[in-house]
Amino acid sequence: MSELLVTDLRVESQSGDSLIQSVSFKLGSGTRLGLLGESGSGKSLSALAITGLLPGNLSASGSIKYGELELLIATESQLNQIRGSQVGIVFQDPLSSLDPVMKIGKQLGKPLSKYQGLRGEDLVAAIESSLAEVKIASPYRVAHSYPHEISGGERQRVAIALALACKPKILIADEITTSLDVSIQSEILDLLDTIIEQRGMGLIFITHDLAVAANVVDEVVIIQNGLVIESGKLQRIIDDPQSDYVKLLIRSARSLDNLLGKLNQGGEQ
Amino acid sequence: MSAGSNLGIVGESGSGKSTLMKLALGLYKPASGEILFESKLVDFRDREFARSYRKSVQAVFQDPYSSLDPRQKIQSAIAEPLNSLGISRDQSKEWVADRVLQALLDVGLDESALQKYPHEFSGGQRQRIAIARAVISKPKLLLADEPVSSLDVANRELVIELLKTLQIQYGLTIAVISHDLSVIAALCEEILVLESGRIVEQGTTASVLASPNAPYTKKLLRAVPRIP
Repeated sequence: MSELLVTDLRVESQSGDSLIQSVSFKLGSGTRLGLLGESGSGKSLSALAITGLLPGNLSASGSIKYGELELLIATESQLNQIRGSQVGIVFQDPLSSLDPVMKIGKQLGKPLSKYQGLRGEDLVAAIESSLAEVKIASPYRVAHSYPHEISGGERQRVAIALALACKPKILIADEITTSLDVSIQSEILDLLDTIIEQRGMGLIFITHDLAVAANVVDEVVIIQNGLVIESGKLQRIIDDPQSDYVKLLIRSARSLDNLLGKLNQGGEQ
Repeated sequence: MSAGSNLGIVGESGSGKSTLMKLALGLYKPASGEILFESKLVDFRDREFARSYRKSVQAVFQDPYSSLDPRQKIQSAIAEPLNSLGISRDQSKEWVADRVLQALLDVGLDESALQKYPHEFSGGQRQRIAIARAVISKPKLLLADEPVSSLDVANRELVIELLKTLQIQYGLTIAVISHDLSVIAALCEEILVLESGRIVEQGTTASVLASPNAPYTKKLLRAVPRIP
């Protein structure tokens, strides 16, 4: 994959409100980066800016370079070559990224036939194998179902399969486990970990939850109010947090274990 | 549940947590079995019982955006239970205003909130307003369904602390429904684990979380993401 370099990215609304003041980070080949922050901090907008999907009333400045191509001034047809086949994206709510009136198999077949030229039996086999890759237990049933007929965990697996269909070099995962139960969440995180490893892809993992990020990324960029407040290796940031916000994130990620420790000592409860 | 001992109810989506809460609120009727409150059968056809039960049992929900009427000022949103439960029937306007202000102060907001609308507040502040409305009738039991799930980490801690304070100040017992074990561990002495509509484990939070017996409880504990 080419390197993705975001430098001093700024995003403003039409009325001049600054939504991202300055965000910079680099995603090297095969690296896994977590973008962390609260709702409204600008982490999802950064992802949309990379894929050229910012809403029309927002404007971006600064630089987002993918290899030699400057994405902020790229034409729509240049961006279309990046989307899907270079950068795939999965969002929080899989229902909103799936067509409600089209069976899963047909939706998954579209990018597979368009980008890999598959037809007939080959296409059917490719659909089933891409559902199997995301560990869907019964690919045949899911392929023949509409989105509302499968579970939330299965839908998110399908959304991941869709994002992977054009064999992207980078996957952007935007709060992909936030609407899931803890046990489904841990299965999806394991799945993501395996796929990124096997395909040697780069990963941008967007979340508000440090403990969730810690399961899949090595590096983090922590954003608050549109500004990067800390960034670097995950372990170093956990060992030596500088800002109050990052200390709070760490305390929150450890809260269950700390409470269990107290409870076991017959502490305050 | 016994008075004074908070109960946490955990389980995945579809395990029956919220159904349990809706049964307790009389929004659903049980197919069989019964719910007793202070040794009396919870039966909403008994209007006298229903009136006193509604004063004694109040609820806070996950989403503070949908639980407040966007066109109702905070003052009247918080005062509403006083009217609808008949608490303010023989009282003066001043008495109502005092009581509303007191509830607002108790949840950590001030007088300036009274004449504002819900959209003027953050998620954390709105959840405080919803809590003020729930406690203004001085209930004995507060049912809290995912009370902090939609809040950011900073507000999550603050609202948990607020619930602990109100518990003492108002003499509340709280039933907390959550998929987040750390919220239960912070607030509840007792825990009940639901799987597919059945209780698979119950006991004190300390003992259940320290040495879970049911495979499902073990799985839930293992699934909690942790940092290295």
